[in-house]
Amino acid sequence: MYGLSERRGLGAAVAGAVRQSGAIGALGIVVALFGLLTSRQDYLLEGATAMTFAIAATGLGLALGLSGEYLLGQIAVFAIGAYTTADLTANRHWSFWPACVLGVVAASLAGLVISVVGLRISRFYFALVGFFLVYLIPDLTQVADSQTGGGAGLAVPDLPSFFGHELRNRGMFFLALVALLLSLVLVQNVRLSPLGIQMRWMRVAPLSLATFGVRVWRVRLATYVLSSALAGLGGAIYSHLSGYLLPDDFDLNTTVLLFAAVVVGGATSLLGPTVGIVLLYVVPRLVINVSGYSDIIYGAVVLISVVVFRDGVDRFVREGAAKAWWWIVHRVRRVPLRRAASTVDERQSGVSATASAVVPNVDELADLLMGLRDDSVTRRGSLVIRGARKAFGGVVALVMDPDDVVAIEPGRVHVLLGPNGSGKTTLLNALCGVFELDSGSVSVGGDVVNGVSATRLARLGVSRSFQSPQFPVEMSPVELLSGSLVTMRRLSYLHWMSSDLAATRARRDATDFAARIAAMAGLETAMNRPCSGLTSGQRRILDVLLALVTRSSIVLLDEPAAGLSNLERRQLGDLIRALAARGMGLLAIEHDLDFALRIADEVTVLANGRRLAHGRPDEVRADPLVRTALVGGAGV
Amino acid sequence: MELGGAVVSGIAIGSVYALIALGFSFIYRTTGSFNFAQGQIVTFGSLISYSLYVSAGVPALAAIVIVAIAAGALGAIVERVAIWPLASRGDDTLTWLISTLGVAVLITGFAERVWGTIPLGVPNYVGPNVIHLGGQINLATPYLIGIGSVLVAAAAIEVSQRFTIWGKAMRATADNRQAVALAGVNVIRLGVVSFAIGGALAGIAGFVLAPITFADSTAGMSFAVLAFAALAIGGFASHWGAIFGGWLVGITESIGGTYAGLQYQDIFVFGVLIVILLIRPEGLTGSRNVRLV
Repeated sequence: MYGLSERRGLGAAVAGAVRQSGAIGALGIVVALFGLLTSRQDYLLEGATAMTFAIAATGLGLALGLSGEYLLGQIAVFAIGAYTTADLTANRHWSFWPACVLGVVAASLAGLVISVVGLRISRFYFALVGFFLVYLIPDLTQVADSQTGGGAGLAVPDLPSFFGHELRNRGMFFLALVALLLSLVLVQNVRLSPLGIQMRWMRVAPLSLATFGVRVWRVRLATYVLSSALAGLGGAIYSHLSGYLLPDDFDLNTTVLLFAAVVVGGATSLLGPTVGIVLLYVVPRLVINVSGYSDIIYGAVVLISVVVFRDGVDRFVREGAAKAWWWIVHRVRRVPLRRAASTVDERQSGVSATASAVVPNVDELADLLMGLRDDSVTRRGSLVIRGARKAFGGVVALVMDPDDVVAIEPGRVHVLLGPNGSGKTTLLNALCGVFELDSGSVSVGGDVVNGVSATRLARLGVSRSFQSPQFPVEMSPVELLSGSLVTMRRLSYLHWMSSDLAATRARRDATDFAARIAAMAGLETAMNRPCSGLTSGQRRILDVLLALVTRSSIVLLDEPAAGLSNLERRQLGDLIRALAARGMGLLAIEHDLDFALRIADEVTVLANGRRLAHGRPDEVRADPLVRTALVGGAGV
Repeated sequence: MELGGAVVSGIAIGSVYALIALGFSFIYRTTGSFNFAQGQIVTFGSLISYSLYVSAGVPALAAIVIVAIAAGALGAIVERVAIWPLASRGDDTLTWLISTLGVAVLITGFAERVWGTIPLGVPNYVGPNVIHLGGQINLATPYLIGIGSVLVAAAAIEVSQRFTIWGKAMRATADNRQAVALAGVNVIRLGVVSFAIGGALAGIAGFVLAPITFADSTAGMSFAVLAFAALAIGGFASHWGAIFGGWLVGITESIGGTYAGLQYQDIFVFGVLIVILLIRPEGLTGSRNVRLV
């Protein structure tokens, strides 16, 4: 699509996907062998039950692990799926399959309703409202007792039939297995899709997601609905396992089970929730046979495992192995600490040496970035803020005169200078719709956009970078860059969820492109590793790139050069000039006077929320007031 | 006068919710967490009251003191096992939601083991069983202890937060935990203290409830849920919000139960909670706590 033939970056992405598919396949084979070989009916029944919980937990993992949403009411949604399906087969004599589909639909609708509440209230309240819903299950079944059988329970006598064969215990075991594997594949596809990347982004920095033009509420809504649909699927199958449904099936213990499984198994990993169910449901049932103490032991197991494995079993094992290795190297073999440290130093200096050896081709990079933009956006004109005033409580952040104007025009670089607390970031926030001004106006190409949301402004062609870059650090620069790219290619959720040819191709193109951009910007050595390992300079570069990898014609950069080396700073300056030469309008907040005056066409100096000076760089440099404000003494 | 009766009994039971919610508010404001096991501490308080007052024949006044101390100790233990291991390592996620839920399961299992699952009757502590307030309106006397305790507790918190260094430190922690820690206050220890106070309040609630609803080892979850609703409706900002919310939940529940049937009473509370949260996500008395995006 971008006329690229290289496959850099794709290799890593595909390898990751294959590895995870392999894990799903391996899980399927092991569980299937167990299902074929065991002759114990109770094992088959418990195994199938565990798998229905694992399906719901996998959905919860999507919400909790990726999006950080605490859907404490997941088991209530599971119950909705179960009761809908059971009511249709037991009371209305439907066949299992359409009833199952309707159960999933009912649960998804419940997710939609839940999301309306979730959009409005805080994470913590939302979790507790979900918990309240679980508490209401017995009352609700009582209210709808003709459908649910109330407290006495509902008999579900009919077994699902599959091409004329009744699915008994072994059949249900394999039905649950197939559903679990399909759910895992679905979740994996979602994780790789732009939606998955946006979900992770939403967890750490919903605001920066909004400034990319993503409608955050839609991401949250998709999270709830997907997660609820999986809970409904688990519930639908669960309802036909034991032949009887009781409100007590969905109690405090099952709520705890789903949640603890996700936390213990590792919320961010695909198979984590399933592993958690094995640890917290299957193992206790196999090992412990002491009746009467089960709640005590179960509570203790949950408590201990949540405290010990709070980052997930996988990370615990990995970090434990690393510690053990360190211990073996330093204590057992008695390698002196100093020598080990120096090896690390050498290795790191080797990395940075290769990193700075890459000289970015600024013009080529600018061409690539401008190639993302079409004319309709670039023609939109300048972003102008006039007479801005803003106070936070009693603190006045901006008090510009009504006629004062800061304009970011296409093809020009506007630099904002000023001491700390002079209102630079406040101005930038007002420009990109993070909050509304107390008075004054913001306009894009002459249209007043006061009070327009950050998402909407981003869609009008205004994007920004942040003073302290925020992105999900477990992801690599290429993943982040490709995720924000792919969002621009409009494919429906169905494409992404089935991971069909169009989705695969879109992902591959975006990955290629992202890798190429990252390499040109000097991130080549780090581009496929998690961002947690980036230096602060690399993070800064990545954040600037993220603001540039959009369709925006106006880009606002909050201290883009902070923490960069001299070489990186020079290259960034060249890139900014090259982009302006190609028609982009840029605003940069700066502290480094020389750097600022070198890249600027126009400079505005702020002090105490007022506009102190404004003009061409040489005019501003000569202004004695500016010298006093920025350098701090009349004598300098 | 059905309505009057419903309102009076709503305020009565609401005071018990307010006691529990007061504990929640205290814990939330000092540690930013929520003790899910609080409801189980209420049942623990009821069960201890049974053991002391019925089995051992301890006088009521001594019993309430012992119950408060035992429940306070349990609260502190919950903090040590479920919050401290996570908080001391700088874990800012909501993992404590699950760890305190684990403790809740553990305490329920323990209580069922020791006291069984059959509700245990506790005779009234003092005076007549009910007071007639004219018409058909009656009030079970133990509730008077509940209403009294909640007012005393709120006043005590108010006074301590204004005049004692501990109270001031707790208020400051609610505002900015990090700054208070940097000022040299041991915020972790403040956490234990607030869990202990929250536990003691829950224990007193259990003591009040024992003669009215019996001591039931399986009833824990309902108290946590309804007291949370009280807090969310009233708002986290001040302890008066918890009390106000408690009464409102109690009245809603009692009116719903009177006019629509028992299975509807908590569904009513849920409806009121959702409506209030949608209109004012910060609660009726709180400051803004709404999602930005």
